[in-house]
Amino acid sequence: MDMLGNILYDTVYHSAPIILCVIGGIFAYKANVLNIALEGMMLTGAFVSTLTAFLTHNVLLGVLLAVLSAMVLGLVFSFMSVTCKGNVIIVGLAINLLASAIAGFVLVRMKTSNITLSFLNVANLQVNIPVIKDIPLLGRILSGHPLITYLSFLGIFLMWVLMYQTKFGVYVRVVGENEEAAKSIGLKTDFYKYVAILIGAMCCGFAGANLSTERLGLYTNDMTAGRGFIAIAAIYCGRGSPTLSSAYAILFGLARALSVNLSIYAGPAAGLFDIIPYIMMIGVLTVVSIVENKNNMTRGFKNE
Amino acid sequence: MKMRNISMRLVNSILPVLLAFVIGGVVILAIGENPLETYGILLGKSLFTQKGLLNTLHYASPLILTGLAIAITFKANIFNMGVEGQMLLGGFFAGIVGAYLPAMNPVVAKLICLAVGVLCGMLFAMVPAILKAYFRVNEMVVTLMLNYAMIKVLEFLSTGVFRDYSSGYVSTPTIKDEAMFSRLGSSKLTIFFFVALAAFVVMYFVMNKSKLGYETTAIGKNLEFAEATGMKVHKKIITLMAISGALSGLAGAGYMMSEQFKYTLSFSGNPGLGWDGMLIALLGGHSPVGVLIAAVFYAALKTGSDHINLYSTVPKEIVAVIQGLIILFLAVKFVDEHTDIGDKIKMKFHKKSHAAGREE
Amino acid sequence: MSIIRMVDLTKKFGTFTANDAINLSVEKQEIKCIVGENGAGKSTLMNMLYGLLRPTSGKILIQDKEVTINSPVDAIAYGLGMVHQHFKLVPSLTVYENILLGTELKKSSKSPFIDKNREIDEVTKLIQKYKFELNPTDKIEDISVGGRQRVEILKMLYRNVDILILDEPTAVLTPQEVDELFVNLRELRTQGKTIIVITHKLREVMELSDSVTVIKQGKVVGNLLTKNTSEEELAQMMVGRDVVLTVRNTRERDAADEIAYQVENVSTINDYGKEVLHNISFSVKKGEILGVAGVEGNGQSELVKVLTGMMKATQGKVSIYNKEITNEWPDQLRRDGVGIIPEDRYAQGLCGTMSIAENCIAGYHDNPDVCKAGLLKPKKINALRDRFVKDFDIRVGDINGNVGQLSGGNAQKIIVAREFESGSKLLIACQPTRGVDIGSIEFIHNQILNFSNQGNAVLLISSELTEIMSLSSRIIVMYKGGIVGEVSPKEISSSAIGLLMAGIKN
Repeated sequence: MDMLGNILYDTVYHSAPIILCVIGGIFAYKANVLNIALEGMMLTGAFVSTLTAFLTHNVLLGVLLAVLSAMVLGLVFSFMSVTCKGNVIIVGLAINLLASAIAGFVLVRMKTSNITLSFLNVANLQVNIPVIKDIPLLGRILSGHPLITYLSFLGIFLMWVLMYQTKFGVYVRVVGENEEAAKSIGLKTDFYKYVAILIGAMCCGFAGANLSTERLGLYTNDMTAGRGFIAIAAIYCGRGSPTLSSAYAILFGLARALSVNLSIYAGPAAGLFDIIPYIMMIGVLTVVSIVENKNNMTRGFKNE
Repeated sequence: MKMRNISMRLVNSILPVLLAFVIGGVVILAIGENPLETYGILLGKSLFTQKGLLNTLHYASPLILTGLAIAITFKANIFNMGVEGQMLLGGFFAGIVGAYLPAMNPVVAKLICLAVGVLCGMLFAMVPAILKAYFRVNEMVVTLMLNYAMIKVLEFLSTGVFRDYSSGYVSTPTIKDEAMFSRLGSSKLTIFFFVALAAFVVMYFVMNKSKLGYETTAIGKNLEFAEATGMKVHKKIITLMAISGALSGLAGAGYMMSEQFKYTLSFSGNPGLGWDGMLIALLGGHSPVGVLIAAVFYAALKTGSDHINLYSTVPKEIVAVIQGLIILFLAVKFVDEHTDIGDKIKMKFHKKSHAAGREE
Repeated sequence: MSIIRMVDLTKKFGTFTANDAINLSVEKQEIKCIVGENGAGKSTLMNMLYGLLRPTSGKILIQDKEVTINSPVDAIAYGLGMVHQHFKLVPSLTVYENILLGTELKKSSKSPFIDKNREIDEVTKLIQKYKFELNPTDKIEDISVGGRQRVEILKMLYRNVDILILDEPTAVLTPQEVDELFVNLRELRTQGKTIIVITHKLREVMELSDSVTVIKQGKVVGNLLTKNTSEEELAQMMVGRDVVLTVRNTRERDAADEIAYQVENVSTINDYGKEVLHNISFSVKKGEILGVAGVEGNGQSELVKVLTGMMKATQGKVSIYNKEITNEWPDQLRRDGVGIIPEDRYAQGLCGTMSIAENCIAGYHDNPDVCKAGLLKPKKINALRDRFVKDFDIRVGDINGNVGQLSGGNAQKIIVAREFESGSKLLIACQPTRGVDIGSIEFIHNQILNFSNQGNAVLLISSELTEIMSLSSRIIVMYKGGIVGEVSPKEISSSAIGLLMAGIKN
């Protein structure tokens, strides 16, 4: 019973950063600028938040600077791919590489391999809601998480509203689906692409802070371990819908939770649980593709 | 026109590198060191001493292969991000086979291990290939996911079934002597370098002079045209991914047999030979000759970074920073040449003015 | 007072003059058609009116006041709206969202939230006012092409335009949708709107318009009232010489000739599951040119796609000299002797960014002449290219350059050369002279005739009736995915074929 509770808690724990990357990244997806740099932006968020907290002992400042630094990366990405019309995939990969390299560089200069926030007890960051925290199972889901985790789930709803209920959201989708149409009504397409990317960057900054500072109180090299790419896969699987894509993110969280908790019983085989979300996403993409192309009577491939 | 093309490509590749070095130089200055001295160590020891050069060529060997693996698929607009995973799989099983081989002729032993690596890489690449060719699934996301999945699987295998318990850290058993590539002379260089070179020669012919190369170029430029002229794109996708997987597997196997000798969790280094291959393919403009030169240059950076560690207080990560900057700047120029934007614009304008004129 | 007047309007692109001192007026509440061949300058003219291009010189007057139109936003402010050939709609958004794009109604002036109910209301009222048939909450990706065009028109009407410009509106519609469009346009005229239609389809001009302006090579060659003219007169003005082309097929058909190509009961469906070809059956004899006539959109494109291996037939059989080739891929088709001049030369026939030589072997790059053991022979390929350029009179700037530098006619000649010299026994020629200059048209027509005179069969699909009439030995007419009749060009007039093309059988 205890284990089930732990699994539920850990699911929420592990899904949160990915959900944040997902809900931020869908704007870039809908605007047709694929943002592969989610990984690098999250890593930067993690690094800057922990470094700042280390130097200033102020967690809030850390989170703030994390978001800002991720957005700086976002600006670089936007500039290179939208204004300079660079290949988005390569720019994204470059940013990921740079984020990791810069963090590594600073760590070496600091003569350390991790940044540990020894002044911080992460348990203090967790919000324990009275009464709810004592409900079996449900309590583990709803209570005991740090702020950004709550923010991530709330964010699913917020981003849904932004995307489908506001003028801004409509325009982002127009820019992504038919740039000609956007230009014909006088939309500044570059502006919308920039904003879409920056929203993603901002969310990734939060995600990184959640991953490192809030949950672990430390930073080590490359701790994001591909979560940014999982977020991209989740966005694809969910076709950019905030709710569906987040569902895939939660799936990943669940797999991680299972892997961590069942390792006592299964030993190293527990690591295989981590593979489940990857395989599942490939499966989903395949099914989606089959359904989409079911009616396609044209043989062979067509130009985009 | 060809001369112009080549010189344009050179500029496209060299400019980003120079820019990156300049910015890297600024960073080095900022931490109070001398950039020229640092760069001297970086490139001097790795390219301009005999031992250094040979070591560089040694490290370039797997990079040439992964670079080629990516270049051939990129040419057809296929984004095979799974080179890393295919390489790891190839290296892993080459290592396992190499460790459990019965006593036999060393040449045969090496051939078997290399063949295992090639086969593994090829088979693993078939998954995204078939998904794309027959189900139109986007190969980029699939290969990315498969990379992570494969790393986990290999992690599992190397901590469990295939673990070498006599070793102090997680690794598979060391391969037998017959399977190891021996050093030629006092440097680390082995015959594997020549294997990579042979692959380069083959790929050069394939990409530039063969029917497959012609069809690959066509597919990359205009899919519908390729289909309408009977190139059966779905079959070519399988072929190209098979070649790519084979090259990646070969890289992994060779690397295992000439440098690592056992599979560990840091087999491929950071960020990984597959990702390095991507940078090399980009830097080399997706042409085999370019890949060769870029691989050597990149390997020089890598061995050079170790020297920086020894001879200066600049963190060797500066090299990673420079690498990141190179890719970033490459991205922009990349557009000019890969998508032939100059030509496209010219064509459109031609169409428009002729359209407005006599036809539409 | 004319509602629009253009005075000496000129547009040059570098040294090339697209519109030369155009003088034109449009009366209020009329439907005017602007006609001309492909490339005569009609679209350029309208793009200036709509603010997409700036005139080099001349004036535009709207309601007798001179105006400067710098962008579509300006044009709309002056009451001008344009519906382009390529729709500017967002597929995943609904009808009402697309109509109100850029002018969304919000819950309150400060709120960022859209008031969806109010938007649906507004659009419903609009639809009812103009008697269009649309459901406001349908997604664009789910409605038909005719429906999407109506959405585009409504987009303009919502912005209170008085003058509506339509660019080749019937090019993408089925004949039934064309009728519906005309009903809608007449209704708009009754409600006080002025309509300008750019087209090159003369029958529609006669049916729909009140007045017509003919443009040829950038100049106005006639401003007439429709009731005072005829299709023949308009055609003559458009082309400037006898409509009947100088190349004619005079070969007498021999009834004993062998059947080269047989198509039996071929049917297929499109992406929406709708049957677009029903039971197509015909045969082509040795040395014969079979023309396929019909208004575009009646299944000709799909027929070509099926016969060239780009689309699968769901039933039926195709054979060449009794060898079955149904549903073969394009490479096998070519090996079996089928040559293909595709409908869209730059999408299917040529690769613009590859060299001329490389394009000369496309589709035949397997041929042992140019490819041995998987390796290509550059010397032989270049020799082939040089032979093509010489024999087919292809004007080339840079012989080593890309095919994209060639003009439409010369590019088409590369395709013609390639397919004719490949030893094929049947040529499928789809719109072979579309977008090609007059000199090259004659050349290509001669080539096609020569090809058939050598004992090969030709299947000619074209929307240019004159081309079909002058080249074909026999003509079949397609309508709504089926064959409605077969005629001989010597025994029938173009108006009789016109009836068949409209689906009216005898």
